[in-house]
Amino acid sequence: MIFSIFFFIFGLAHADPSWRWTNATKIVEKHEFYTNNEMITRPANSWQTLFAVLYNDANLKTFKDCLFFKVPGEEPGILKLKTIGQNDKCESFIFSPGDEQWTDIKALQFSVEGKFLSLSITNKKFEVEQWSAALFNVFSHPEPKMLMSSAEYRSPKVMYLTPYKGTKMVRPQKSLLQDLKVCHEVSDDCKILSPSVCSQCPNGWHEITNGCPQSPKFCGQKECGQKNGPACRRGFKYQKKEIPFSCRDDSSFAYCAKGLTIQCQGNLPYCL
Amino acid sequence: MSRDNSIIPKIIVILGFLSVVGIILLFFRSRPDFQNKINRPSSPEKLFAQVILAAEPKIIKLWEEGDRFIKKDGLTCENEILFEKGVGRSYYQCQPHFWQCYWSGGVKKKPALKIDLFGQSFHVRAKANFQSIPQYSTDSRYYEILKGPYEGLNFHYGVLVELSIDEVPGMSWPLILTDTCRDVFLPERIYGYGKTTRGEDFTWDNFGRKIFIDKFYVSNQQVNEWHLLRGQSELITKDRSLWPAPALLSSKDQAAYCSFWGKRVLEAKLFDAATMTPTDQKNPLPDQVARPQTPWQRDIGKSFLGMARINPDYQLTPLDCQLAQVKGCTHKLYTTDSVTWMGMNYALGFYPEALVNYREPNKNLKTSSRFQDPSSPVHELGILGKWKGVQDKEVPVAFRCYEEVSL
Repeated sequence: MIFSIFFFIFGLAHADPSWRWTNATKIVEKHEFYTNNEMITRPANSWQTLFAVLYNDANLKTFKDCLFFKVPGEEPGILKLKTIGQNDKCESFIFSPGDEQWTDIKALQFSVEGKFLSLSITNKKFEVEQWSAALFNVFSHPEPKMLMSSAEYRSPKVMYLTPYKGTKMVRPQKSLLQDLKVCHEVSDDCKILSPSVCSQCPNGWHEITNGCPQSPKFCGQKECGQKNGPACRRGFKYQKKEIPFSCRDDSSFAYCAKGLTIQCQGNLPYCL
Repeated sequence: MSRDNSIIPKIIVILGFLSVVGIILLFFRSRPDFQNKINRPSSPEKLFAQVILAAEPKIIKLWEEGDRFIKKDGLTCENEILFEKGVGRSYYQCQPHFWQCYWSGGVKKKPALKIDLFGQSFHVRAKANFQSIPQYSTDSRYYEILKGPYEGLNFHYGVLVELSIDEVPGMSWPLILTDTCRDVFLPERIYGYGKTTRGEDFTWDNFGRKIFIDKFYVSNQQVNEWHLLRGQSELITKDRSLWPAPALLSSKDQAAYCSFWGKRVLEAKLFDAATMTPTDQKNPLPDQVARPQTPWQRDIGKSFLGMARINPDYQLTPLDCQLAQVKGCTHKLYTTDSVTWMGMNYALGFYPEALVNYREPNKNLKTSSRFQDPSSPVHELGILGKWKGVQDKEVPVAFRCYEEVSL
């Protein structure tokens, strides 16, 4: 028993960090020039960001592990890992001390392919250490098809959190977007000013239709089509003709309750 | 001229020929499958991860298709979830109470999932690591319901569970199971709302919109989860036999329930879209949008409902009751034989259903139900009535939610 506890403690202390990346949700900031499995030799003596891994801990808090490499030149290479907040940029920490560091590196290769990440580290004695992790949570949204559920469209069927040893009560903490906060910013001329984060609205969202393929959206729910309120979205293809993009010229992209008429305020239709 | 009788050129030709044949044979040789061969990881952490990864299909099957694990004699955990003949198997899919029952030994005595890997058998099991729900029992739970979303994890409803492996002791892996059984995608195309009347043919489209509609009515068991999560446990339905039945909430509470999960109460035009089978499903931009009278037949006269209208002595068959549970049918819940073209259930018959109608706000109720004779004219698509938003014991009103996903 004592031996097994020692074995696990010892194992954790010496585990390569790729262990905690198995529940990564995204690989970001990947070096734009290095290709998979390329031996990294240039630019010699410089610090480079190889990639960053976004992952959630057992309490559903998101972290980012940045992996930096000092390319071997006059001196052997150094691999450095720094854990930062998910919204921070790795670039800002490239010269900061790492949380973990591996020195005396003769050669390094890495690869991020699909759901698999690997690193091959060769030291001065030409001993090779392999790090690898299957990225369980990396997910690209599929195109919805018949009989697909919203859960399958938005995330993997199983989302892995950080595994742990011993006893622990998993108690997730979360951050929320407030109701009425803009979650998808679209200008009057249909330019998407920021990507949609409406899936982070705790109570759903509503849109103020403006005739664009995507209309501006806000957290929280609001009814449409009622007197003195925004009109409802009706679509922009059911007419089967090219319609001018102007609420005043053709407001058929929206509708109100029977008996009410559409009044345009700019390109936004309201029901009066 | 003397011919060159040297043997060297011949040897060169033969060697060249053999080299070419060798290269061709090398090209067609059977290669060892390096991709699929995974060596047993040296660290316990990685071994643990590999086994859990290998167990994923079985875990998903247990969660999504729990009903397949139920034997003929049903379940033996009456204190958790009941097994009743009048309740369809869909009730046990993505069902946290079934998950609790399974891991408590209510389905089979040894519930561990056996995984054969690296020449060894591993036993994966869920841990009862979550707080009990005193309203149900004092037992620790094998799950906890989570209301999302969380940063980086995109879900509204999630079931947090923890897995361990007997052969790799001391380690746990928490993971979230999502509700992949609840709703179904409404394809992007032109749809019609209501009946076509003189001068009025309301069509609309959902191109660019990702709309998902609940397959079934919201049940008492689902509403219990809502009550518990928002701290109103005194409102839960304790009688387990009522759990699969539709929740009977006021229109205000229906909206609050759906909103809690980032959804909305189903709209009348979406109900029509989900039930009126398109004439040509391959053409999303048809010239005309049909308004069939039933989900199964364009003309109601050819269906049992039409026959019942002209024949007062019409005898309902079991098949009729599967398509539309009307007055005279046996009461059944979570049945799937009434499924529509896009995967939603209960288009006609079953329960009156509350709908939100922004076009005609007073038409907010699907009136066709199990409380109406088969000959009633309400059993037809596009026929809506008015509901004041308050439940009445005589005519209970069910509801379901839909969600538009914006990524």
